[in-house]
Amino acid sequence: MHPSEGDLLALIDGELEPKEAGAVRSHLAECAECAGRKAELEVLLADNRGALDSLDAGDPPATTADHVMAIARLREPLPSRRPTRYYLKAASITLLIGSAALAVAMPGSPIREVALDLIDDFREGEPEIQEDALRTGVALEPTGRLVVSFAERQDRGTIEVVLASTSRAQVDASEEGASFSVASNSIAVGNAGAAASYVVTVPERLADVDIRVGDRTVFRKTGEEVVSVPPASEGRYLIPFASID
Amino acid sequence: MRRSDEFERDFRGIFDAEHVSLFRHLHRLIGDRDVAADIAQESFVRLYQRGSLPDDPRAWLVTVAHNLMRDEHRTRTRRARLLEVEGEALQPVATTSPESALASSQRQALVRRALETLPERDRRALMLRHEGYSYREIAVALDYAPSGIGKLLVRANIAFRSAFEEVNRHAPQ
Repeated sequence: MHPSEGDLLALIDGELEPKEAGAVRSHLAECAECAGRKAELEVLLADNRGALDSLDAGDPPATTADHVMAIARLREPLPSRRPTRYYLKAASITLLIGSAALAVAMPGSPIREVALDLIDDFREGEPEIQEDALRTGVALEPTGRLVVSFAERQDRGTIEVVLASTSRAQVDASEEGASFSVASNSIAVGNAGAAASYVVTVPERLADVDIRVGDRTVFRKTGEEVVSVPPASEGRYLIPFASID
Repeated sequence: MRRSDEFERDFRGIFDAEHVSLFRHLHRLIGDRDVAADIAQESFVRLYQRGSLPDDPRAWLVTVAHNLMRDEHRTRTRRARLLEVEGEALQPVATTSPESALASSQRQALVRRALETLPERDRRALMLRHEGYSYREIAVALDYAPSGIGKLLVRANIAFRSAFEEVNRHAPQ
């Protein structure tokens, strides 16, 4: 029985089980027609391979398993950070709102003044929740000069700068502790007291990039020229916080 | 979510072994380096989020990547963008002359036009095989019977050759 063209291709590709491959080869040794079909398939594959090779993709932009893992971890839901006392205060304020409503309806009443003072006290103790707190992954697409600024030098941790073939700038932290805010061409990292390490992904086609820690510039890209402190090592821009003066 | 040291070690190994291959396959398929890189990365993010390795990580990654491609196409009108950037995105890295660079870019455009005439599954099968995926992996990625991959690839190769010759015939000289 003549093998199908699918089986002939599988033989060429080395995808047949040894027993099947042996049977097909035995047939080809005795069947000129099938041997001719196999040869035609080989020519077809070679021609197509040449065409498809023109789409040679090259290497991907620099990234690491650690970078990927950091992104995945950052997407995980955070545990509730609100302490129990917050909920007690929330219950209290509900009563106060009722009182405040009465106070508003009674201008000049001493209750009004007390209610407003209590509301102010509550707000002072309210935990500050920043936009994008503890999260990165914001799809910031800078249109001009990019500035990434870390508020403070940390006692430990690193900043790794990755130049990537992407339109997005991104900062990923290895653990909780920092907060992030984003403007049109800047990312600010509130890292006071934090101990995380960070991966800063920079679109490689951006011509003007500054990365700062406090008032110290630790990475600057101007066109194709890159200057970092410390200099790149083995193609990586890895900046330990400890190395920053 | 806490992951075991063993999983993290295995994940790093799979990333090192498969990231480049997956990116190259996606880049050939999509033609947009940025999108291919994003999808490749996102596929690995999802593998890590999974917390345990699938039976066939290589095929699993391709399946996820193809699903992400479909989503990307729907949301960003990928095909229009591909045609828009094709001219600049396909410039070769090293060329001996502007003429050879132009010729290379034109050839890539013709190859892409030929590929786009194929049904999506045939096109993906062709590109997966070109990147070296096994028949079994292709079958998993495309949700296709393993015994039918050989026939599918024969059909795809013949269709591509026919389409490529056709677009070449009509290409400006």
